[in-house]
Amino acid sequence: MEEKMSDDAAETNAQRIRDLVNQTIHGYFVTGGPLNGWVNGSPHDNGGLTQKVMQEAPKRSLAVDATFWSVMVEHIWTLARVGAIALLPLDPSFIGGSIPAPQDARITFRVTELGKRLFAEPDFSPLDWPRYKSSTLAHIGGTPDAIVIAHLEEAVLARQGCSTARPW
Amino acid sequence: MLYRSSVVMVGCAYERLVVVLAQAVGDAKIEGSKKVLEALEQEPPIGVATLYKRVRDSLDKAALSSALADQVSTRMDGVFEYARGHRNKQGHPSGAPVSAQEADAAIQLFPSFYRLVLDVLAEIKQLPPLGT
Repeated sequence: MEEKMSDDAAETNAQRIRDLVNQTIHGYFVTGGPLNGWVNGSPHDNGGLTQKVMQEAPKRSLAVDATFWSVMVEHIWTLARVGAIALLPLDPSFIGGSIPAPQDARITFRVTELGKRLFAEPDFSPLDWPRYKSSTLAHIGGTPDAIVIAHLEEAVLARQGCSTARPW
Repeated sequence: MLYRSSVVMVGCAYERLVVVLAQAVGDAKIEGSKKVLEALEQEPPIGVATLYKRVRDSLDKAALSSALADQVSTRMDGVFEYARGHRNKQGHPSGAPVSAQEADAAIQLFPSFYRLVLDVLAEIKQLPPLGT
């Protein structure tokens, strides 16, 4: 039971980190310039995503530690996989020229049109399982049927394009 | 994206809720409960469409509040048929395509369907059993 509570606490913390990332992207980058930096790419933009979440995390009592970055990086890739953001490759031959000095060696992304809608109204989105799950649980109240939730998770992950095959 | 897998799995979630609802109707010992219980215990298992029909027959005769009865006959029936239709089409080798919109709709409608099922469960628990 104690271990279960620990897992729940870890998931709650992870969800708060994902919320922070989503809200930061929504707040600063949806209406930003054509290229948005993972880290500060320009003296004019007051920092990239990493700086902004680092500024905001202490205000939400979130520890900026190894777990924080693991959750954030995984979430960024989930957002990319579902098409909410587009990660821009750093290969000059792919993007048609050399990369401006302030942006080289930095992961860069752009919020897609789909992402703008997703960040603006994430509830019940089939593209965001943690948010969908928490919104659904809040909507139904009480203790959900475990089988229902397991089926639902597989449905949403399949919609995201993940293989839901289990190793057992 | 695995749209086909998605509609099948969310269809399973809908069907699980029908089973939960059927068990509650059976336990409530209201009119039609016996047929629902027989359906749940049938071997080989009865199809979910038939099970749902028996549940609905029972609910039609139950004294649900008019607002809830209206929700059952409009939203619950419609959403369940939508999900079941797509789940059947994709769960069997039909080769029929499924779009992102169709997959998304089944997922997005699910929370309100679940809420509605819970509302029905709450009301049938308050109904007096037959013969009382």
